Amino acid sequence: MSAQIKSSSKERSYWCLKLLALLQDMATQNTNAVQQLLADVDCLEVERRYPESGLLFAGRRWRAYYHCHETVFMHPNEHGHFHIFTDIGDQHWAHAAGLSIDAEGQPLQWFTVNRWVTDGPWLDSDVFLKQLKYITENNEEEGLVTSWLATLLALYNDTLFDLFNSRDEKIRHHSTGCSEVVTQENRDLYTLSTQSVHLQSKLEKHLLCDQGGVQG
Amino acid sequence: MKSKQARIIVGTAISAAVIAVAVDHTRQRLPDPEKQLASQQAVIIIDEGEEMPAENNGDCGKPTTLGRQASPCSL
Repeated sequence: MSAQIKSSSKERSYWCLKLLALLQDMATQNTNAVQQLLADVDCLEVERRYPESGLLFAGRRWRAYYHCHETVFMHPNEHGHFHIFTDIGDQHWAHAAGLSIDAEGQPLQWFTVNRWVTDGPWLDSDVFLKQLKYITENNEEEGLVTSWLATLLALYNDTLFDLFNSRDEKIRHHSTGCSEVVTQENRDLYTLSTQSVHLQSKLEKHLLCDQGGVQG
Repeated sequence: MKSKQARIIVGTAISAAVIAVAVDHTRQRLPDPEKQLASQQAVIIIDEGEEMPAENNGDCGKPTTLGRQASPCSL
């Protein structure tokens, strides 16, 4: 890996404030990102993608959908998860990460999966970091859900960097005696890495500590 | 978005309580997912003597070496 994203304190504060504003906006409507996404859905079906064509954001370079499986597997408290893809050129969408959501619409964890699970090209970590840079303060997202997703990706960029490192380490670990491309097709390897998410702690850590730093 | 963000944040002292209230009020019960509706299930016609297709319900919750040919979470 040749690159790493390090957010400045100012950038982190910006994304934290943006996330807090989004949460307050959702709070006033008594909703959350997933409930908002499913607002017009009469019957939520397992294995179906919501929305079917995916949500585009960050200059149409990122795309996501939400779905539920019949059997919970990513996290014991999971309701469903977002799969988040990025356009690496020529309309080739590579899977970047998944985001598990609990039954009350709260994020539980980021995760990566093996290549065969999502199909499409394998996303190298360098390319992933480059794609993250398209999520900027200047993106004018149209809706709450895409704004929320883009903000989480930006706010958790260092966590996602670690997530990718762990993913690649696991692939290397299982590639003794075979190529990594073969390991990426190994049906026994499903989830490759996880990183827990706790929005309240994240906001408290950065917003309250930053305030304290200024005052102190 | 930016003006709305400024409107909400400015003038609000950010405290642990403000953050907790915002997060708590987004805790809204999601609908329980249901199995695929019968009316929307695909009908597969098997000709006499033709081999039955392997079951693939898209469930990626049970890691197994069997029946793992599809990509259950593709775009």
